[in-house]
Amino acid sequence: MSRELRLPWAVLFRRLGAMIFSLLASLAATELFIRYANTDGMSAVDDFRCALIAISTAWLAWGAALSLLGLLYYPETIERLPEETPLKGRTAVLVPIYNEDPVSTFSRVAAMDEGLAALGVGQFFDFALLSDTTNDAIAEEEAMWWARLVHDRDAANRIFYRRRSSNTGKKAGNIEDFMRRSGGGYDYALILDADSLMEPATILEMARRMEADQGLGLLQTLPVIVHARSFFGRAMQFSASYFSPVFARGVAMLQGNEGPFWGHNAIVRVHAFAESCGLPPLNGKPPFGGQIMSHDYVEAALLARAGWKVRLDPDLTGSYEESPENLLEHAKRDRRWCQGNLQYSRLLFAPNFKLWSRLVFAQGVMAYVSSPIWLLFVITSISAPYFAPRPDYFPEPHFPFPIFPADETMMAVLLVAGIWCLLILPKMVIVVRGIFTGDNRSFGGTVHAFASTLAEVVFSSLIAPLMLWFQSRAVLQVLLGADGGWSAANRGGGRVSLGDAWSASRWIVVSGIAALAMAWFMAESIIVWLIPIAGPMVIAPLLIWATSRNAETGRLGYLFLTPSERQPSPVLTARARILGDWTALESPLPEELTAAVEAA
Amino acid sequence: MTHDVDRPQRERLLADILSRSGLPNAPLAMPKQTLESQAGWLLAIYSRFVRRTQS
Repeated sequence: MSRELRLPWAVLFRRLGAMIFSLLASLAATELFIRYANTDGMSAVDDFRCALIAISTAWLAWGAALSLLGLLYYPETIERLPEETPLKGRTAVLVPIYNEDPVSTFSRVAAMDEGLAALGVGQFFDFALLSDTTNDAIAEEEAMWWARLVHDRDAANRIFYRRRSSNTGKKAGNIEDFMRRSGGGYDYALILDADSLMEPATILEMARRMEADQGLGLLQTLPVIVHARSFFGRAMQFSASYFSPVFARGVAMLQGNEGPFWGHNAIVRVHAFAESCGLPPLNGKPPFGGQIMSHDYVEAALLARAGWKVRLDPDLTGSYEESPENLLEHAKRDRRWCQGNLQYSRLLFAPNFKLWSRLVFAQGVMAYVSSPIWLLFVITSISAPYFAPRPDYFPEPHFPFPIFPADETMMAVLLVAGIWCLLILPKMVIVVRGIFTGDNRSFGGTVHAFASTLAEVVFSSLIAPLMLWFQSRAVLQVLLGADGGWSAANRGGGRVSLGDAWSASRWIVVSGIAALAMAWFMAESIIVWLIPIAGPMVIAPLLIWATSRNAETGRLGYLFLTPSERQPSPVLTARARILGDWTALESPLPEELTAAVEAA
Repeated sequence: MTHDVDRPQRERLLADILSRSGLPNAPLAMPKQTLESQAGWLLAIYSRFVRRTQS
């Protein structure tokens, strides 16, 4: 398939507008910085800092532009099947698994299958549990719980399980293996993660939208985080529920026909995916060569390259995932994503991609490179006074009185205030908007939503310096050629002991103390500016330990309330019931099966 | 999770389960795409420039 899809003018204008906004914010920050730095004359270090602040501010402003656009969102016309038209196409729901807890994963499948059956459309949806599990003991459990799942759902020949002997290509290879073996039997494939859960009505609506628009290659939903228990997890959950939908609407405003694919909770047209998304390994060795790690952006770009529409529909709710419960697990996952995203630098100039897809790759790279850029800015700021030219109090020859440089501290204050505005203003606008739209009600009311937002701002400000270091280390490791491999996700892994937190972050503590000491000796005046960054670094183990603790109950339970906590949706309730029933079982194996094998 | 079955029985059960699992057979071609960077063009132009200046 090869056809040209026209980019709507409105999308083009919005994209240009967002870019101009980012550039203007960057120019304004640069201007303020030059005024501040120029008080004692610009050194080469100042020029370098100037470039760093320009890049960093442009990146922050881009994020703010997406949020602000999200506030202006209006839904595009979406092609839909008439209500009386029944669904014809068959969908395979793909659940790639990799050493996860099978009880937890398969109970989600049971809940979705139950819901689809209740809607009377179960016959259009098969499930394929695609195991890449390397641990034999877990694989045995998977097989047994699959037997339980098939028994309970009466789903022989409808819920399949297969385990690959070699996990070539990782998750993308797992999906590709399904497409090659069984893709011919289906029109659509709903790609999930092991921790994904979707409302059956949403799954059905996605299949119907695919059927209504034969040019649609991929339809993405916005997954929101559920089942978080720790302070860290619940802060992330609140952020994903309250802010991310606005951000996603911003993405949708700019997507045109080249929307995002986030790797899961999305449906694809099987023959479009098969003909367009066969991923070759890249020349060379990991981390930059070899298998493509963050395959999703690449698959979205490949579909768009082949002329298929890729779209995020922000109105599709009822899409859930789970998330790491502590900062160390989050950083571990981030290390994997970092390697995958930096690999996109290899694809920036790959043949025939749409310009927007290339920009999306650049954004993926920037998402991680921005951390070392900020870090460099901090380090050069500490050392800048050391390299500054000596002040000249008599710049005018023959003028008898000294001329003191103007105090431009206000410029620095304005610069910091501007950067904070880019980070915080969109969040505050979301709270205000929630008053008028009524959205705050499902977050416990405006007072709750506002308190949670403030707490989230404080929390994200405290962990930002830690993530800055973790991400900078990850970028450095990738640049030095260290392959991070493919570790199993541990989304449920909760509490971190103080000892483990210290082991994992003592290098950050030492860096924080070193930064403060350097500032003390080289540039005493910037210590005040440094404390918001170095302070959290010095107490990193405490932060990691404290935020990994349970925060579901007590006073903390009132913070970060989300709609899924206050009123779980039908599929969340069904899943909790099935998980409870299964956990109470003595054995996953149905008695009939055990008896039949014993008799044989 | 404890399973009140002994090892041989467990293996028989697993073999039985796995014989019934597996994916439906409906093959579909999935050709590998071209992704190698056009930066190769830049390298070629640069090499030509270097050769020309050397000659």
